[in-house]
Amino acid sequence: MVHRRVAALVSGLLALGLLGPVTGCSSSTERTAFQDPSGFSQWIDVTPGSLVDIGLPPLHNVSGQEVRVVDMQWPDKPGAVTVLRVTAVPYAESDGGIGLARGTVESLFPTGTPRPVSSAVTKPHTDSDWMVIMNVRLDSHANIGAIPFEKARVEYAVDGRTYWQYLTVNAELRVMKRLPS
Amino acid sequence: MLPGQPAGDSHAQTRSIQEGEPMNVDRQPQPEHLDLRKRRPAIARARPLRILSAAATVLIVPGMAASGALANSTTAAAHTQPTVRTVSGVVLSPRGAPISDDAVMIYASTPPRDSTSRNAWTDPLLGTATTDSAGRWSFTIPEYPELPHAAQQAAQTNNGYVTVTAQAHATARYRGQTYPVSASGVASAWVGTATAARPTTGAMAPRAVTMTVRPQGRAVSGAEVAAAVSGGYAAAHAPRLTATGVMVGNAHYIRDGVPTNRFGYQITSDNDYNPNVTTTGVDITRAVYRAVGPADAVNPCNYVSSVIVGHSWAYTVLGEHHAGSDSSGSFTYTVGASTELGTYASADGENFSFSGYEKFTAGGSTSNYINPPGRDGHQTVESLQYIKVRQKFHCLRTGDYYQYRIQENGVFNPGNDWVVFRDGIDVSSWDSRSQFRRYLAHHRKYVNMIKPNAGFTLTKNRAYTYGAAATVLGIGIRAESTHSTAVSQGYRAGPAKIAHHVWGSNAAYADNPQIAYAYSGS
Repeated sequence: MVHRRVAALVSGLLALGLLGPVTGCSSSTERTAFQDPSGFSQWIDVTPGSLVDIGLPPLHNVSGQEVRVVDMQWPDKPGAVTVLRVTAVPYAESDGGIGLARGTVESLFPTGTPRPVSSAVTKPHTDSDWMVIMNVRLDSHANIGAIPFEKARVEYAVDGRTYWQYLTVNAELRVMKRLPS
Repeated sequence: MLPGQPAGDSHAQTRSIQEGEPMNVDRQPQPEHLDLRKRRPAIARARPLRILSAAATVLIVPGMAASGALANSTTAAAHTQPTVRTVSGVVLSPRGAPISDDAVMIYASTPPRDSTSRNAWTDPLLGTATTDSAGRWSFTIPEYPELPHAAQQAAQTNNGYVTVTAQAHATARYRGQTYPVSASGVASAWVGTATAARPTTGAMAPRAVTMTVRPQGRAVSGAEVAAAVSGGYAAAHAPRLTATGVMVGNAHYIRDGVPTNRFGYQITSDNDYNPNVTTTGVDITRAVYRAVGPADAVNPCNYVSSVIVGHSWAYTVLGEHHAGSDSSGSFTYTVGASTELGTYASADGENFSFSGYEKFTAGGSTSNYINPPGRDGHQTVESLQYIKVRQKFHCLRTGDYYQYRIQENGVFNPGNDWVVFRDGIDVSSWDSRSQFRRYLAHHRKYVNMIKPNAGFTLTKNRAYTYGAAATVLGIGIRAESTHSTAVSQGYRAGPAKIAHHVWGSNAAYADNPQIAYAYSGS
């Protein structure tokens, strides 16, 4: 009986959104600040144990406010993938952006310095001068096959408040025993 | 139109025509600038129109779902894609002033697929629209089940797309005389087929057409048939096949197109051609233009019939692929792929100007060009046929007049081991190190680094607009493919190079560029 009452109370509080932070749900609000790209797909061959950099598509701030990226997440990330870090690199220190690449940011951009992702600030109605990159590691026992990464969840801050939105990545990590030569 | 009724009467079904009204009736025309202050709101507006199918008359208001006569499946399609079937445009005077309250007749384009046919046919009338105070009009083409049989056949052979021609008539008042003038435009829209109520690939809303009224052409003399424009700029610069079967020519000509004179007519043997000069030699550019509306039906003109007076074929550019060394580029064009091809209109059969886009979709042919790894860039071309159509109109007071159109008419395979698809001109010069450095300096955000054994595919948005994707009958034809799941450009980086660089012509590859280029170093 007590069990039922507790369950009813919890479900009621969940319905009101009061237990969100306790249960791990984000307290930020979904809102669109960046234009969501579409109309492309990308892929890369990888082997178990690989380090892979996954770049967000170019960021276009369509809002009227300055936007600071706080985090980039892989919502439906499989267990065989571990996110090591998310960084930001200015285009000015690179030879263009990246979509998918094996390695680390440092190896990709030897002339650039990765910054904390919160450095990626984009002015209103402009294209960002920053690329946001997620570095992941594949488990050394990852299954052979395809790992899709369709949408990234991007958290950002505007005027001290945090929001989030999905951005299309449309990537596929093709896990194989050894890379074609 | 009702079965058995002459096409020429179709105009009369939609408006009250005051027969016998004198052509030179001395009305006091509104000064052209006053037309801008007419009493209509700026919102595009179309009058209720009649769609006369074989069995019944259905009243349809453009922009709204059709009546309950439609099947459930097609009604659902109308709700989910309200703009795909809507064609639109603007009617302007030669000096760019809008012509308001003008009736625009919408016909389905239904030429016979046999390009050598000399038999006349009549395009069916789909309905009318009326221009608003800004000269704008729009018209929602009925869904497939409501279309006349000939239009259904045209849609069936073009994967659900039907091409329409819009025709408007007006009058020009100049120095006490009234001259009949007309304007035309072309657009294609997806209407479905007998079995498909939704497009298999993303159908885009048709582009608005600009229709400028010009004096009506002379009665047919037959000269236009022989006078295929052959000495102009287009003919001199057209790509050609060598004896070894390699396409050679100037890629810049294909991209940039044929230059036009100050009136927008392609440079031919007569660069000074003025389309605003009447058959009697009067330049009516500065005339006062007004609509031919129900209240003042001055010399109303009706479309009568069409006939093919010339035909040709040409390899037409659909897209291109690019690859640096140690990589592969692809251009895929499969069933359902679509390309917009320019149509060209003329009052005299010799001088042509752009008149709008016609949608061509691949029916049974497929093509997938993946070059072997190594630096390469080529256009992909398809063999298409083009026809020169003469349209006959009849005006109550001034008799017959004619206008001409050059348009595509489907895939053409001349046989003798020719192929429908093939490589076009070599465009690998756009993949050079110097081009890469230039983009890096000026458009760094368009550039992406691709590591070995990685790649991407572009599947959305319009690709590059080729100014002269084909050259036929002395005219350069514009063309533009639409990236989709059926037509795409791809890139695959090989294993040997440390890094490959790709850049979009106008955006990064994740931002729907028109073309993606590639450089992989030496």
